Amino acid sequence: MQQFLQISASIAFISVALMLGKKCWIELTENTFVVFNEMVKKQCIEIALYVATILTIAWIMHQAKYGLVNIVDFHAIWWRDEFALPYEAKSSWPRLYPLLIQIFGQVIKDAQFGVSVSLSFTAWLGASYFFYLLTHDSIGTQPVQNHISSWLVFPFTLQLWLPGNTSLLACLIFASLWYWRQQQLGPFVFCVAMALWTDIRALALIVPIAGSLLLKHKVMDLALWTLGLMVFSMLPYVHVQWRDILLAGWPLLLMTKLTKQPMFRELILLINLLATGGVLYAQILG
Amino acid sequence: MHKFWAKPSLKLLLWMTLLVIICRAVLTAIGFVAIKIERGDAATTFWPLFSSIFSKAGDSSYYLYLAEHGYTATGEYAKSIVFYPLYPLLIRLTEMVVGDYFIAGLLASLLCLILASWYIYRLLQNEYDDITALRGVLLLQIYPFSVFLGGVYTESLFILLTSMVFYYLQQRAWKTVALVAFLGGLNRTQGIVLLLPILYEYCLAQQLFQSCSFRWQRLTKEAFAIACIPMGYGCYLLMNKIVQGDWFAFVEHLKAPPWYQGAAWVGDNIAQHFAMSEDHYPLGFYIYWPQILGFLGSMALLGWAIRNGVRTSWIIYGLASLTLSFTASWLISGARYLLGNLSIFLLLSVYVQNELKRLLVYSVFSFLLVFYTIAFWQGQSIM
Repeated sequence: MQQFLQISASIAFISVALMLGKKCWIELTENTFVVFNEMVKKQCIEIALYVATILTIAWIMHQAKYGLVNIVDFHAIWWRDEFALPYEAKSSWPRLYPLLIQIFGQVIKDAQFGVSVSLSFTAWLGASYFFYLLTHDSIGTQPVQNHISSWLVFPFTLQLWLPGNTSLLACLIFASLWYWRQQQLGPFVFCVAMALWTDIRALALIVPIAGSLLLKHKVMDLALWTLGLMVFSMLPYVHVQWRDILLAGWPLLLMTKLTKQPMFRELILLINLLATGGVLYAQILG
Repeated sequence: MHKFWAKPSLKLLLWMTLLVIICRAVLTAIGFVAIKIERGDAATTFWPLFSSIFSKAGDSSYYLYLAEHGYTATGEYAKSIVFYPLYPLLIRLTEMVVGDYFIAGLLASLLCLILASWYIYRLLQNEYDDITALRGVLLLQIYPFSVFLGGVYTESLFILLTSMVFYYLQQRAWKTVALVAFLGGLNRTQGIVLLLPILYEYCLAQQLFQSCSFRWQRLTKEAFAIACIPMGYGCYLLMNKIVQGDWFAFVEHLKAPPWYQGAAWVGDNIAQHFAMSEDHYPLGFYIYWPQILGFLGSMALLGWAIRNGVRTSWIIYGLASLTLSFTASWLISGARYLLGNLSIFLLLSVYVQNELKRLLVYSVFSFLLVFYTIAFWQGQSIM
């Protein structure tokens, strides 16, 4: 009973706070949130289904090789060992992501794992939102929603809601580009500073900023950011992972445009799913 | 002269006075008669019993002490720094007229309650209609722990300040709003969260976040007045520094007996209330279950209000005040803090527009009001 009350009170509080936040946003910004809200709803359902499928497959793979393990224990051990530990805030001047984990960890007790997952997930939704703002004028609402689905099945997307700073960096980068396009210097400087604090590769923002100043061509910003990111990723000492492809704006835009065609959409979906299976196999059994 | 008395706002004030006095008188009569019957003692007279209960129960003795002697750095009453200064100041001012601190405290609360009822009525009348307005006032009067409204407690004054803030927000009188909210910060901890609905209404009125962009150029000089609201709370902190040498001296006192208060997550606090109710019979009936059910009920009400188009600033204040109250660990006055959360009554008055819901809420409130009023007169742990 005590635990039931504890959980009920927490769920009630968080639900009401989220509902109120959404209501305030709609009223303050005059409905900008409504379209995004639809997108988030769709995304959340897709994510839930997709994650459940992936987790079950991963568990079955593990069962096949190592024998019976409780599904909850398996994921707790696997995820924690695989992803959480490298991001503990041990250095004297921690980066933004582990610092945020520590701050939220003061409230939620499972700081290293639960918080990092929820933080990554939230940041990923934020990244989707700013990507939507950046692209919906040029390609429309529906393709952007398709893009979200395509992004979802990218082989390394799973890692975006596991502990890691990729989602946070993507969110801050897309936000910076958006505020730069809107010529809102205050939020732009804030987002750039936070992005730099998160990951040094945010320096690549110099390319789209300089590009837009020189070319006076705003629509190039995603492509120029991709170019800048590629250059910075080639520098020595910069650690690049597969999931970092998801940081690049222009390939995402290209993929989004391709998914306008049903045939390409199905093809990309199949390729991605096969690749995801391979990644899972390598991570669990390799 | 005739025209002056015929003014609708004055007529309303007279009605509110009558309503408040009748409600307080009935409640007092219930408590007194119950004690008389329980004791079976014909010699028990009203005033000695009433004054001994209402001047010593809970925080009342601290407020009366502060009104008479002020804050001290040492001694038993050093811990009274946890109480905010506005209400004791009001008692002191009233005492200059009536000549007795206890009567001054009661009178101050009563006057505040009458004025608060007027503001609540006008607020709901402007937003909805007369009958909803009347229900709002009635619900406040019959809240199960409304016995505190007639005692030496800050609730009546705080409800007055909150209702004034909401009323003048409705009128877009930003400077008056700022001044009243400033006083709110000098009256209770929850006063500081009055800033949130004000900021929200201001942003909405000035369309500061239109189309996801912050429009600096739409800021007016009234924004400066709003920015000064936290100074009310700042004055309280300054008083801590002057009297006891530490800006946050009250925090240390709150951690110590008899309060043992810190901060904890709401879920953990609710679980702790349940554990306490199991371990300390019958405190669960007087303290912990009202807190648990009050919190969950308020959450349900806020959720309902969000979905049913009730003014957002009321909901913001309701949630913020509830959060501040229920993140305090070792909470024992949660039910009284809910009484000070005006949003709950505003939302309830809209909720009970349906007849069945009204019957349900009125019945539950009335029965529990009688139960807790008698328990308060009995000296049970009604905090």
